[in-house]
Amino acid sequence: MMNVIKMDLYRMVKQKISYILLVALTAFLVFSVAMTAFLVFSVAMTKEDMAMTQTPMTAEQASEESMGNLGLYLNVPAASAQDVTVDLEVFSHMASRAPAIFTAIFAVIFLTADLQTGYIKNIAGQIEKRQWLIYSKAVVLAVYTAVSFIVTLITITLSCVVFFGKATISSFPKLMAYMGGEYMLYLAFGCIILCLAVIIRNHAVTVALAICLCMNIQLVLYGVINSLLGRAGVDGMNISEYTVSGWMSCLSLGASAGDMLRGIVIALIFGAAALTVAVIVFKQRDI
Amino acid sequence: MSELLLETRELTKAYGRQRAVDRVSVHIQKGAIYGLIGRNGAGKTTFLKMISGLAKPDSGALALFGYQGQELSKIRQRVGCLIGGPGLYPYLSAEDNLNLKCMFMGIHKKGYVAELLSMMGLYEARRKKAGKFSLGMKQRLGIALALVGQPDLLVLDEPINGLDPQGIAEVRETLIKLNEDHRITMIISSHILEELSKISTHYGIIDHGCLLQEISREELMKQCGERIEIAAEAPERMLPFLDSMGFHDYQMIDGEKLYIYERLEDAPLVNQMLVQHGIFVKSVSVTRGDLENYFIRMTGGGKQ
Repeated sequence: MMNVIKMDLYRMVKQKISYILLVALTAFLVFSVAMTAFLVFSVAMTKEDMAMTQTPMTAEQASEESMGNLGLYLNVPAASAQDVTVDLEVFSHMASRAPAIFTAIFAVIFLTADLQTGYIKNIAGQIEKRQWLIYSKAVVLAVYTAVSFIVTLITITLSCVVFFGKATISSFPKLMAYMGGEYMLYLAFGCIILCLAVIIRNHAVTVALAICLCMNIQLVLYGVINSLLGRAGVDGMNISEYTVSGWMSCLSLGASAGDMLRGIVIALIFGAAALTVAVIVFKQRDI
Repeated sequence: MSELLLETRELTKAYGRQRAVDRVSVHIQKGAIYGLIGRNGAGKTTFLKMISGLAKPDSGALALFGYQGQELSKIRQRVGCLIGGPGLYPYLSAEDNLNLKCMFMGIHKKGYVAELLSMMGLYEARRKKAGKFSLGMKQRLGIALALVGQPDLLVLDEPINGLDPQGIAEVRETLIKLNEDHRITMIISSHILEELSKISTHYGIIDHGCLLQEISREELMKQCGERIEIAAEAPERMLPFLDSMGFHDYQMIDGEKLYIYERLEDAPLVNQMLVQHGIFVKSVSVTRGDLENYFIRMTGGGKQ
């Protein structure tokens, strides 16, 4: 299996799409931080204005809004430039699920390229266990997601310096813990998209589905499930809190150990389930 | 007799109600070049996919290098294949496409990729993106990919598709050299029967998913090769005279005809000798049979 992983990692390094997506992610982050700065600085706060404005949203409120609404919501919970920190910017971007779109596109285009181009015919017959091809893709996805997280942190930090004149990290351990939890959730999301790509075998449909999932289109389904559960006597249950996309928004900076553990467990369960289904489908199929 | 490298027993594969391969039993000896002949949709590609591990048979048995069933996964690396056209990453160079396969096989030998590219006449184009290759170049790169790891069995599905005459000749020479120098056993399917006849040592004729015949090159040449055909009353009376003239390679057919496979230029002499000895000759002709007609005869009325 190590040889398969080496092969896929070599391809990841050699192919342009890996870098194109990182550049696109960087550009998106720079633009996004720039827009945050524009919004924050363009509001000339006088004492009268401050009295008339609403209380700034907290991080938890920002999470809830992102989790509970259709679309991509990028809320930086800060009233002024003084309040903008690297942690908040990272949190707001991760919780919006916007960077997950890039992970999803990578999962679809890069990881299924061997199926699309037919290169799989050169190797699938000669491998001892066909499932290694899926596991190898999951490893490459893990590496790529880690790289994209590092790029995200560096880009946001530098963008804060450029647009806010400073890059403050309130709590580095908390930020790392948060990013660790989000990393597991993003990786699980990537595995789900990989599974869909293997099953559907159509790039356009899978990418469209991935974008819809990032934009929380499944909220409609969750609403129906919640309603049915309510009728069955299970009150107060929100199915979003048990899903990967839900927790990508739900997990907050300074989350408790319990919440962090819950997010990681959900990520592991969904990630493992997605890979298992992908392996079963892939093994049964003729190449 | 050479040992059997590949043997299938009643191998079957259906897609829905359509039986793409129907109880095919082949026997391929080590060192043979087995030509698989069949028209479009006969089941050649499906059969080759099952041999190569790309498709699972619905029933039947497959023994490869003496291994069967679950044990086959241990020796799969000894089979190289080019099935259904070359599968290449179009945005990677020829060199990188081969490097990927080498990594997969655990091959790190310096110059290995260059050697393969040179063998297939692609060294000069090694840095060119595979997507910009001509069909013939892609085909040759596909063969190079199949050769990575020096397989003991090479499975090639229409390997000379898209090649110009020079390219066909080069691939033919390469395959013959691989067979002779490295004892690589090959299964080659092709529509270009004339080309197949230059290289194959054995043939399997498949139609509508069924194997109609397995035949060696010598037997096939006898059945569709050049010969003197003599039709006579009591043809068995000719045998002592043919022996006295030094003929050895002849065959009685259906008790009415005699086929002689040598010294075609002596047909008039044979006729004269038979007449002189009172044998009533109905007809004497020199027939140039060909593989194509033989194949069409075998499959033309074949309903399964």
